[in-house]
Amino acid sequence: MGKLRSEFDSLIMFSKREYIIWSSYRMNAWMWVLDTFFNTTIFFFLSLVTKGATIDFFPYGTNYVTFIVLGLSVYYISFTNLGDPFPRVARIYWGGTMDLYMLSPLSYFTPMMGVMYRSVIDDYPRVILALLFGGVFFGASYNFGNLGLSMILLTLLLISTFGIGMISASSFYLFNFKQKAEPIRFIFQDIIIALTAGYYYPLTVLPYPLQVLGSFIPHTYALDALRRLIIPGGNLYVKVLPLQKVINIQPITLDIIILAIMSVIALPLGWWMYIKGIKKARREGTLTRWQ
Amino acid sequence: MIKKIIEIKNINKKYKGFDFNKSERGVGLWIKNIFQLTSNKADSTLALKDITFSISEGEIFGIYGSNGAGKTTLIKILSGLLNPDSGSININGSSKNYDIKNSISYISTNGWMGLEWQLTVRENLILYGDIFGMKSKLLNKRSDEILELIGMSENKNKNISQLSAGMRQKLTIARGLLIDKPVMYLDEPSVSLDVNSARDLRHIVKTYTKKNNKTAIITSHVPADLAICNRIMFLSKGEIIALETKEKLYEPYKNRKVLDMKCLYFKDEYLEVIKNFESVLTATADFSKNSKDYIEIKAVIKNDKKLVTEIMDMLLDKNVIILNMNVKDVSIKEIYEYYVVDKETRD
Repeated sequence: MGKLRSEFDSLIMFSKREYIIWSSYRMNAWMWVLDTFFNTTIFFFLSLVTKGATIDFFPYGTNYVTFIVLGLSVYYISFTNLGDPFPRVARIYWGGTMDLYMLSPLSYFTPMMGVMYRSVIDDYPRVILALLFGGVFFGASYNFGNLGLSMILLTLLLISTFGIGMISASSFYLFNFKQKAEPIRFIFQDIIIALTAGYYYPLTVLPYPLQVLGSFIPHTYALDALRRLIIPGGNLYVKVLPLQKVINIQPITLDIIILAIMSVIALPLGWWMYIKGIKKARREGTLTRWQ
Repeated sequence: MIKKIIEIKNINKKYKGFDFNKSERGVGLWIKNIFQLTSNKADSTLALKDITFSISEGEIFGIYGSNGAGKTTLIKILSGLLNPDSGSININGSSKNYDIKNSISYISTNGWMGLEWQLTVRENLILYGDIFGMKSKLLNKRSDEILELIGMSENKNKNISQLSAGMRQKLTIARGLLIDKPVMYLDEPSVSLDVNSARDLRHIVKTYTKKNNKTAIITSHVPADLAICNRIMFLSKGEIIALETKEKLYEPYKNRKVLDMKCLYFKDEYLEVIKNFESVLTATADFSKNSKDYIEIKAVIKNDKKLVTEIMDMLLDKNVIILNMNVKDVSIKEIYEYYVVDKETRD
């Protein structure tokens, strides 16, 4: 119990430290707000292009701004959870902080969660801001009648994307990818997710093979369910995704089940690979930057 | 009976390399890389061989060796950063990694390990103490005490980026003293420090360990750092070649001096002539090709002025031009070289 308490205290300390570092860049807060605002604005103007046109967002209602804002929100979460673990590991390695953490009695878990906190304070509130700006300035409308279900979906998305992020982070030590570019993250984030997550368009506009490719990422199911639930006029029953068409379960239920499966596989696998990488590095003497 | 706080038995470590056929290229090599899952593209390297020693509580223990001798590998194994291939480590009564980490304070100046550039001196100390599980109240009190001890109280609100290299070094050392563990490892502690600061540091380490019954291991190339050690261990090519008190290590060098010369037109057969002088213990010459025109010769000799004249006469007879000649006290470097040569001779 004492060790757990100590780890928890250290986690709080890491969080404070990350906040101090984040807020030490004076312009950061302003740029952060403006960045979220202008990102939302771009898509509002895009929505003006589509205004009056017959755009098929079925079964996700008819409000393209809301459609986009939800896509943007999931993008921010993915950017943090999936995209950030590898650069964070690299940062603490090259900054000499990994030596410090590995010398301390902290578990492998605490420093990793601690350094991710900067990403969390940087990106998670953007989700709220994007929803806010969308609603206040750009005509997005939301149905929060199924808030509980939406939070469950969001939680599963967080877990599953973080699991993939940890798989990516593990490659730093496991496969010795100490360069800036990391193939797992590149393949998932820059190719599969960019094309098939459906941040800015419904998956149904893609050719069928790409729709099938999109079946392998949690974003597809999270966005499908969140859009049905949150966008007014969203249809809860019509099946549009490839897996929904072959499995006879109500779409949102199936989305939750698949996200849960992905979470249960991705996170333990990611942690296992990360720890495996650390142990390999300890064997080879490559754990820290200085030999 | 003095307690043995560190016990190391039969530690071996080999950095596994490819050991591949050097004519292999391309896909074959790539596949071997993936399946061997090793980061080391060089041949395998024996880093440590059958290392066995123990350290008593309250002792200041020095480790000296040339580059690549295995000092850092040994320290990393002792601190849990590196796993040995075989052997056992017992620190403060436990061989579990968690307990070992809880018993040691590692002070290394490599890259000013983990200093946060956006935080102040005091904030860095607090962060470090937090990571090592110190409670807030104690941490705040101790941070101020340690800053006072190392003479950095005035700088406590300065950002790391505003500090000089020497001050960052001091802060790194302060962190190690802060967490108050039974064992301290100091890896090249006086690098970047000026003479006065280095002297102050040695004084702090000596009094701190004595007052608080702490054990310290120092690895250093600076003879003065090792002068405060109770015992010194020499490592060469991953093996222990000597482990004695300072007095016993210096014993063969009682009444000896070091003759340093820089010469032009010096040939290797002249070195044998120097070695044959009765009062010469060892003699070495650096014939490696470099930008210098002269050859550096070093001989450990009896404290005999007549001998120096004889060697000079011999060299002048052979038309060697002596650019510089100096007789000085024997340092740890020469003693180490003697033990290395002695071991090689025995092998």
